[in-house]
Amino acid sequence: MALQRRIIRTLRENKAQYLGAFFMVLISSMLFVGMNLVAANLSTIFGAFSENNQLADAEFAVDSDLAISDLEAQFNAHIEKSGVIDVELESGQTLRIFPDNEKVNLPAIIDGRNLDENSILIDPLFATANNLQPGDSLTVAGKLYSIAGTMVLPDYIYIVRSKEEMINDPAIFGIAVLRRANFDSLSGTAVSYAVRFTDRADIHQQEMAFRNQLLADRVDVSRWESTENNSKVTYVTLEINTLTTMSKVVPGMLLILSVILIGILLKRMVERETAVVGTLYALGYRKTELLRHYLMFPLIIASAGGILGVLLGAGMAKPLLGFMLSVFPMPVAGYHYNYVFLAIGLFIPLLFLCLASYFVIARLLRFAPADLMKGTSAPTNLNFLERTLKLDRFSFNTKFQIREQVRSLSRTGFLLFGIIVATLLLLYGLTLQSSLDYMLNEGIAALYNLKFEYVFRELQSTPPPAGFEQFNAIYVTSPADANSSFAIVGALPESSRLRLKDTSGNKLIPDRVIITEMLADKLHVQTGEQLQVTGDENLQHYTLTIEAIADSAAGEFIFMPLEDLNDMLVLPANAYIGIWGDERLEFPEGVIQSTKSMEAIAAGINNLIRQTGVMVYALTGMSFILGLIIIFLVTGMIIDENRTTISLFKVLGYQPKEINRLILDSNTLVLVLGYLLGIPVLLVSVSALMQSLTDSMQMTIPTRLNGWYMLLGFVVVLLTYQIARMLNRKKINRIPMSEALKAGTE
Amino acid sequence: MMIAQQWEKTAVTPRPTQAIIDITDLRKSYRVGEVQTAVLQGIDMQVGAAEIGVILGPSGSGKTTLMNIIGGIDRGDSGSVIVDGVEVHQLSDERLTDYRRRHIGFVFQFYNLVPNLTVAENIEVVANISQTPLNVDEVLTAVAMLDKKHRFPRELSGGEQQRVSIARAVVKNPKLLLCDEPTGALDFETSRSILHLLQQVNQTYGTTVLMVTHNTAIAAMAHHVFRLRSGEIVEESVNQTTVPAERIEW
Repeated sequence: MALQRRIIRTLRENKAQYLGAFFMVLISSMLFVGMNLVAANLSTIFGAFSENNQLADAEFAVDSDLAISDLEAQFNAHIEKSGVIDVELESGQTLRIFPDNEKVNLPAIIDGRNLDENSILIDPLFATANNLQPGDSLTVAGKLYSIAGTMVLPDYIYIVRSKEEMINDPAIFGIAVLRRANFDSLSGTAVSYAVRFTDRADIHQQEMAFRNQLLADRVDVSRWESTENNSKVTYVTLEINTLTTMSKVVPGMLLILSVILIGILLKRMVERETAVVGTLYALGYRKTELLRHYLMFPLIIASAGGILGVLLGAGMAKPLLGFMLSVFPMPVAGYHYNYVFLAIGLFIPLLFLCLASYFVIARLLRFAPADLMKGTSAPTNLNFLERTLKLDRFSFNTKFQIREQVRSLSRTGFLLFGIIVATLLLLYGLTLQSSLDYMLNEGIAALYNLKFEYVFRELQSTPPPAGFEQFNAIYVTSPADANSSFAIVGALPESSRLRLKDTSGNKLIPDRVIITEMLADKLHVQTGEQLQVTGDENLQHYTLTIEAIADSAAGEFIFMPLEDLNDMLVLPANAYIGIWGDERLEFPEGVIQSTKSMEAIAAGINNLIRQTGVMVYALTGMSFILGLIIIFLVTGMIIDENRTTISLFKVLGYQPKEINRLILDSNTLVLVLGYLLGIPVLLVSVSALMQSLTDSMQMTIPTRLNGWYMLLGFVVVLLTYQIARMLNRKKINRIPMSEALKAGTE
Repeated sequence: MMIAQQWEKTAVTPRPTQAIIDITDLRKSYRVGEVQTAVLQGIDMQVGAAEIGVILGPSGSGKTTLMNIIGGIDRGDSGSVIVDGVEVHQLSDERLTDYRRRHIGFVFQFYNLVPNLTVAENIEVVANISQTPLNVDEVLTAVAMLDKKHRFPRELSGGEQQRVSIARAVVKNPKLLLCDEPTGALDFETSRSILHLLQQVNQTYGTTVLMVTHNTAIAAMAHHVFRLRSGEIVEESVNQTTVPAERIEW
């Protein structure tokens, strides 16, 4: 068919624009399919692992033995007495050892054989990092074991020593499982329990009922960790949720961009071809035939981009999932291609692009053929904005450039939206990095004047070692935000280990109830107001009166005098659970519950910053390409629309440089505006991400964007703009002067 | 070349028979802002089948509007337009398209060729939607454009583009060929060859040709001449003998 041959020619004549749209559809489909497949598979794998290996709903420690069978029967649950111990290996690594559970938190063997009395199972990351193979020997607490193989635990998917360290270093820390008898033979093991309810609905309520029963039975719960707050598990769900959200947001934005782009391209094309449309219409072509003809353009772009995008997305999903599983090791039963995602990745661009195009073309075909042939539907009239603007006081160049932008609001809107998206992608990683940086330097390092924190298993009352300061702490939850708990820290009123200051920069000491600004904002409390909290472990209710707000980016805390906290908890005035100091101390086995080194925390955050670096570069590269496509296309459109004007300027004696300035510089203002608008949009979206991180990791990261990063982002955007200009300069130079003369004849 | 030769051999002066175009009290006005302009003010006209009709008139007299309404690419405000028994003024948009598709061939002043289709494809574009199209190559031969069938419109002169435009109109073998200033953008010699071509189409296929022009000399080749002024037919004449296009001078 003759008309169909025209389609390929038209695509070829405007290849830059159509290729740009094609790439946007491709990237959009690829990201959608790839990210969703990874998220869905990760979710399936996690679900199966939790189910098959009986992930506990909570783990807790109590002061006495529990009547397990009675509780199991009463709550229709599986309860297992378990335990844990950290063992230093001869080579200097720490191995966290668990017994081989039989009911809850069952280990899943990844590689190797089952345990026997002389063997040990270790986690695959530790094995790889330390080059340990099944059959190798490992001495644990003086006993030689043979490595039976590698295993993973459902409550330790993200294998990290403590939530503060955030990033695991498998070279120095790992987990292992021993036969129960071998585990029990180790001295200094901490006993804990794990519970999993059989009824999988309303877990939180069942958990509360269970805890209330323990309280009623006068069982003293010294530690309670719900799995929904266990970062070693929730980090996985966070990743799944983040991926799922990102898999909709980023491809969605790109899809909107490509829909706008195709819409504009088609609008321009059919407007330019109004006479052709009118002629074909006059010659007897039906509206449906013309619609079908023009719909072939979005159809080709969307199908080609969609098919290739779906294929690439499906192709990249498996290696990406492999990468995720290298961070979160879990047993994999199989890999599933969800055909719904593949279909959506293909058909959504098709639907949206064709729909947008349909409206553009149908609008044009409302005109009579005679009007179309006269070209009256083309926007030769001034739009409202152009008519309203009083430009007389500006120079010709400024007037011309302003008119270029207001003449086609859809084009300007496309450029603006495109720059916002590019800015968002560009600064997303940088903001993440900046925020982590800020939390480390302005938060943790600024708040704590110490190198080590030791937390004891039991409350202490003897004076702390010289140079150390004692503290007590309780984790509580406020009704204002029942999803995340925070710590109330009791410190010495004259503490030199905490560096607090109020929002005006004046020094504060914990001689009163001080809340960090971040927490005060979250709970909506002011100085002088009362705050109701509930102890996470003892479920007791407390009321505090806030006396000061501290400007700290370290996280969400309430600081108060140690004696007042002890009084509130009905403890002896001199009781404390931990100490702060600058020296490394040695304690007998079984005395210390946890040790935190500020250096290790800083290293963890730095590690995280380094890891985000990869993402930052990837996003920067992607936004650079995206920005380049958008700016190149928009400047290309402006040139196409101004061919006659450019040609006329040449005839009139304008230098190519002057024409370039007039035509291409008009985008600069929109570019700057897009960048500036992109920053608040960015901060809002990163804050949302940080909030989900807070909920899942029980860790607060303030959203900050460093001024230098902002400048860097702007330089990248400007650079992109300059390259796009350079690429388009040739296009202007190629326009012949005869174009203006020809146009004048018609 | 066969068809062209055939045209020469079979050239006869067609005798008007029954009216193919029958217009009664056709009115049309445009509103531009606050101003209402009457373009056609009660047109009555009949053109017989297989005739060549010429509508003469100065710019703004309403001749193109009249032509567009006859061709079904515009609508009148009132009155009746019957072409080959079809009441054009009563057709829906869809039926109007069908009417154009089946009955009408258009030749425009500025050719209106599709720029990124070749000469042959510009003709195929109409042949594709016709029920009984003529052979594209034969039509191209008739307009002496066969050797340039693979060229694009921008590679042709104005006269050549108009030849292609005529071929495109003829290929569907329409009953009525409407030509809006077909020589308006052409020089004398080219214009004459185009007029000759139109006369050949009329004689060979018995196609009714209705031409709009401001060039009074063209009236000599028509059977029926209408003079239009300010939206009214001020004079109507019938030529008993017509002049071959190649002998027209201006």
